[in-house]
Amino acid sequence: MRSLRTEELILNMGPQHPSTHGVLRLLVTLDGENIVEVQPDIGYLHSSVEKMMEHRNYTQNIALADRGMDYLAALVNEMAILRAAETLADVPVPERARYIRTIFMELQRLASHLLWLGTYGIDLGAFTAFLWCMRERELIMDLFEATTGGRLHHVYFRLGGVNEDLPPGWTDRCREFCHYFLNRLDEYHRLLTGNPIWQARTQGVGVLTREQAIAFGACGPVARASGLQWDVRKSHPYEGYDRVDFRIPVYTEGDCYARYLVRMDEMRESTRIILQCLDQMPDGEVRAPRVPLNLKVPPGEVYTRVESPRGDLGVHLVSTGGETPWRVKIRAPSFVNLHALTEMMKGWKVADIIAILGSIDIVLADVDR
Amino acid sequence: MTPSRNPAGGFFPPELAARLRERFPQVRDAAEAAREALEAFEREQEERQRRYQEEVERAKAEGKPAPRPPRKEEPAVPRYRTPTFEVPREVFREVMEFLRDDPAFRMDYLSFVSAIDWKDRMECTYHLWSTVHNHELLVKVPVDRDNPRIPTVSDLWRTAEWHERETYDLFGVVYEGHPDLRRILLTEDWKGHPLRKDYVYEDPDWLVELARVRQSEISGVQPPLGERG
Repeated sequence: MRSLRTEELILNMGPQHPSTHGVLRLLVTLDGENIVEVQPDIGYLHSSVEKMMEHRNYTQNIALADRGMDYLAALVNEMAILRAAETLADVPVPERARYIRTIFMELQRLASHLLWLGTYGIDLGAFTAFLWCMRERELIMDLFEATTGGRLHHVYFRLGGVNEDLPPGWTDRCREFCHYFLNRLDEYHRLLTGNPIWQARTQGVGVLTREQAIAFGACGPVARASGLQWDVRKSHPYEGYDRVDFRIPVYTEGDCYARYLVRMDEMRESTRIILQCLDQMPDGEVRAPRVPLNLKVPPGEVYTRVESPRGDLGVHLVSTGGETPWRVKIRAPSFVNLHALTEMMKGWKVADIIAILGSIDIVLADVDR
Repeated sequence: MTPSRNPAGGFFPPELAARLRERFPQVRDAAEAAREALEAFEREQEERQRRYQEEVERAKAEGKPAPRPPRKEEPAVPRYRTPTFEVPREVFREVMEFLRDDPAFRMDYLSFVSAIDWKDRMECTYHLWSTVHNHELLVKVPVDRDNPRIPTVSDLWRTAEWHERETYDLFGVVYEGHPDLRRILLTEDWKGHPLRKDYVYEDPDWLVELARVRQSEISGVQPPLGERG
């Protein structure tokens, strides 16, 4: 019998593709239906935020971090810049402001995870999840809008506190939302967790072992689904996180289903954090007096991190004593998780590309910065 | 991992820092150097204050008006809120391997690789963290700014592959031994390295040409047929 000639096929996916959630191009090398290699081609959204930050003062940089980086977690980006600047300049932050920041960052995490769950549902053919998640996300957007005036881009945090206090009645609305949301979360579990199609598409797919996760520097839910028990909120507590009781969900399977479960559990924990913060929050000032808008940060260096919905978001701030930073290095969680994707994809079928890509929850603006 | 009250910039045990410097005497603790500089500054301030007191007493004895007190000065010593070590390029690979493999250190997680352009010099930066012990440090390696070259660490930590490509892209640092060193964020034909302080942006030729053609179209002056885009 004459043998058939076979060769590897290079499939170009993106940069405009509905499932890449942004402008990402994947060069997939296929052997029949099996994936041999995946090479992400990034940089389509590169705006050199790091360079722009060198020409703006710290207050302006808050707004820049809000817009220029991960647009689904704007408040966490603001916190990342603020944490570095406040640590280096020893800016005092009132207790109430710390709690308000914690509440808003957790609401942001909920909104981000909800958007992820909805779009991941669409990726895998579950349309209902998208509609439900958007419905709940809208309520969070309303809570944001009532306080910060913005839905996606807030510029609410300031050096030494937050812009202004919560409007009257906001805490009750927020508490009401949390209780409502916990019930909804049970509904999501009933819809998806036991769903045989959902399980078939995600269980055992795209496995990343613990060793690989550490070697690739994977972080956030991706690392926690691979058995790495690590959350910046616990390992380097900031704001109100050392005063509330919460759990780090960890799964050891390392597949897409584990990543899904980690995010589902995280949403429950986030709601618990918000409720505890609402109970504990003291009255008082929300912004430290006498912190100038064009603060001069003393010369020095610091590397601080915060836990963004996508993982460990680090900022290496180098100051020479001026109003603008000398150098800002932003360590983006999506960037490293996308690198880990090249390892996760090896050996899976072409139909699993979408399932694996969706499960790491990348934001391309965060990858490219 | 036990919940900790780590300082914001991270923590590195002093006994391990001492061990590192014992093993590699070339390694310099930046925070300690800053502390020494601060102490020297304070000594100098005391000395100035003492001299001023002497002058005051001399003036009093001679019946002259007292001289002005010296101006209060802020120390220009940098703060290192994250444990920082300066490592010379010669022992850099050895130090990194030691930090990763020694059971007391076990810095198995590389957070990022980057560089700082100081205009007159350049420093490559690495942030290491231990998933076992939860301690961390920054490693800084001075390199030649005109020809920045440094051995790769992508064989020690896979994550360095992309981070080194990014630093090569934005700073022009060449990582010797990197398996696939090419631009990652910018296009392959990009000129220069944008995060260097002396970088000047120039529009690429095709964009200049496009703008020229569009401009002539708007103004109604048609370029000669042969020159149309």
